[in-house]
Amino acid sequence: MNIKRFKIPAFLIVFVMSIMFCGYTKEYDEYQSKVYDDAGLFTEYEIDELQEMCVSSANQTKLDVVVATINDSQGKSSMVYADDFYDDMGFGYDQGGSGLILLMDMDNREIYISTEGIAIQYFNDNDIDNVLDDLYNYMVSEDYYNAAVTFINEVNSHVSRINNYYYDDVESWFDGDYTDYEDFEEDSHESIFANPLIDLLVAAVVSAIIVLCMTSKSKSRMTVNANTYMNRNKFNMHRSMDTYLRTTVTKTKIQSSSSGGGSGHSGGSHHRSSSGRSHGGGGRKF
Amino acid sequence: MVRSYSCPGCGAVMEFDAEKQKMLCSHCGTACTIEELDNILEYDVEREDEISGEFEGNGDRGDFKEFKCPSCGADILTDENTSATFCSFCGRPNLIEDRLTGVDMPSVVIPFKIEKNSAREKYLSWAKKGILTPSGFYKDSTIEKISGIYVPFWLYDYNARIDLTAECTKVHHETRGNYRYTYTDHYMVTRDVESNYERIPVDASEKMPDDVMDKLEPFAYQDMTKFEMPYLSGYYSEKYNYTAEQMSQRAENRIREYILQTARDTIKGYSTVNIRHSNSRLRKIKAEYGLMPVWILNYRYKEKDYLFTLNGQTGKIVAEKPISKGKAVAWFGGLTTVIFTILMIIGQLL
Repeated sequence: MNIKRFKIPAFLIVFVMSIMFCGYTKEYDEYQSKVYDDAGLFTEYEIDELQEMCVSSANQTKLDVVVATINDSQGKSSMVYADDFYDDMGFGYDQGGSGLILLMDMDNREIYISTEGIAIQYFNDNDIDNVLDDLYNYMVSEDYYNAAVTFINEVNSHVSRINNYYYDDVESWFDGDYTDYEDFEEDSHESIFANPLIDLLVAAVVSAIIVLCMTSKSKSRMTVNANTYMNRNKFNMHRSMDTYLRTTVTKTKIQSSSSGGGSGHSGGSHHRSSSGRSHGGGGRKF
Repeated sequence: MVRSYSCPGCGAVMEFDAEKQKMLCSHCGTACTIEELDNILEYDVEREDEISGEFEGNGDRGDFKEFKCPSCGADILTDENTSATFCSFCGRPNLIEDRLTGVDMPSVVIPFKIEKNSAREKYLSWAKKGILTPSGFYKDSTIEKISGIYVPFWLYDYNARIDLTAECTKVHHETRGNYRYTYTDHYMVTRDVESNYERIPVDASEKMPDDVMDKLEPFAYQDMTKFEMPYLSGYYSEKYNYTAEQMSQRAENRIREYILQTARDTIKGYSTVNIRHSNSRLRKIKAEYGLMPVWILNYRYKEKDYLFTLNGQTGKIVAEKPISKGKAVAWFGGLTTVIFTILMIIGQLL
């Protein structure tokens, strides 16, 4: 296979495309390459299969799924390389750049899974460890293709499970609570007060209330009440009964936030990469 | 019979001075208390011509009284209820005795505490105040005509008892895990409360508007004293139009509300209280006839009549003041503009 020959033009195309997409609003591009086999671990057929699986997985899970293999980590650790590669190539399913990358680092002899965006919430450290456990055996037996396949399948099944069982958590992750994604461009929405019509209405109502108060102040009031004429010495409580009848209970569900403990599914630990973005993930030496 | 009190020193007429709380001769300055007056009593009595019955076209107008003023001899005509008045010509205070004696004698009176100049001052400072008062108002109003009048009141003593049933709830919240629990405890509450209400004032004069008189309350009853006619010298006074029976309805309505409020106040500690059933029983104990001091001024402003009243003992003002439409509109426009600007600025900053 002349993968190496395809590499340069393929890389160029991807490079150009990523230039175009980097820094712009991230929208998932299914024509972007999701498989980068620098270490030559896959056949061409396998690359195509993996590409298809990555794209279909992304559409299903709403996370960008990427697989990359390298022989030369350029002096970086797997984690740094994986994070940088993901950022530089501009992957990400949404504004927050949500997605995962599986890096097979033959230089450091480490497999590393890096998460970004909502994927950090989906996969906590435990989840990543579980996936790495499953991949380890394949890596050790040099069955790299099946390791990648397993990775993609596990991403699918895990995200489905989380969506079904922890739908409250997922809802709150998608509720715009992008506290982890500092690079995410803030929705610039105008405050309601910028609308001049609303301002006029509010101003009219408030000043009407104030003027009405002024007019009512000039009127006189009663200054006596029930106690003014009552003779306290003659006050007599003949009977006083407070009888308990019953108790009714109502129950409402609270939206639980994903951070903090409790019964929800909390996201994984995360760190910042060189680009300043937050990533989660974990690695395993093989 | 018309009665007035002559100064033992100079023979001029003595009037009750609100400041000193004594009888005072305006001419020579001699002062004496009401008790002392009884001892040196000298009063002039003028024969009166009683004109009773109907004038043509005057329907059921009862007793008019026409008198000759003891000082100047002018004819004074009073309406059927006036019990103290002034001669329109020489200004001498005259008390109409047979409207103040026998059945019609008041039991108690609260003498005037605030005298005329002081009442005038209060009126002037009231007229000046007010954000929305028209600017011409203060100058154009007529303050000379402020008059002190003893208004007839019935003072009722009642015993009241109420039987009350209410549904009440106590609410508290608890948060466990993902759920928020709201516990509502339901209670049935009953109260049987009894109390006495003393000296509830209801104005017995037809001329005085009832709601204005109500708002002049409270009168501080510690200044209330047994009725003596000299207190009225120098003021107008009226006999009651309505009997205690006729006014008792007004008193009873108030007492029903009061006893309900008193009972309601004993229900404490609940989040909500819903009164389902209440039954009150009132028992009349007595009704006293008393005179309460009020300073009154009728004024006109821009073709409309207004009433200014001042509690002659406590100084509380109950009055209507005209509102300048121009000023109100100006304030409304100004405030709207200011608030509008502030909101726009906030909108741009956010």
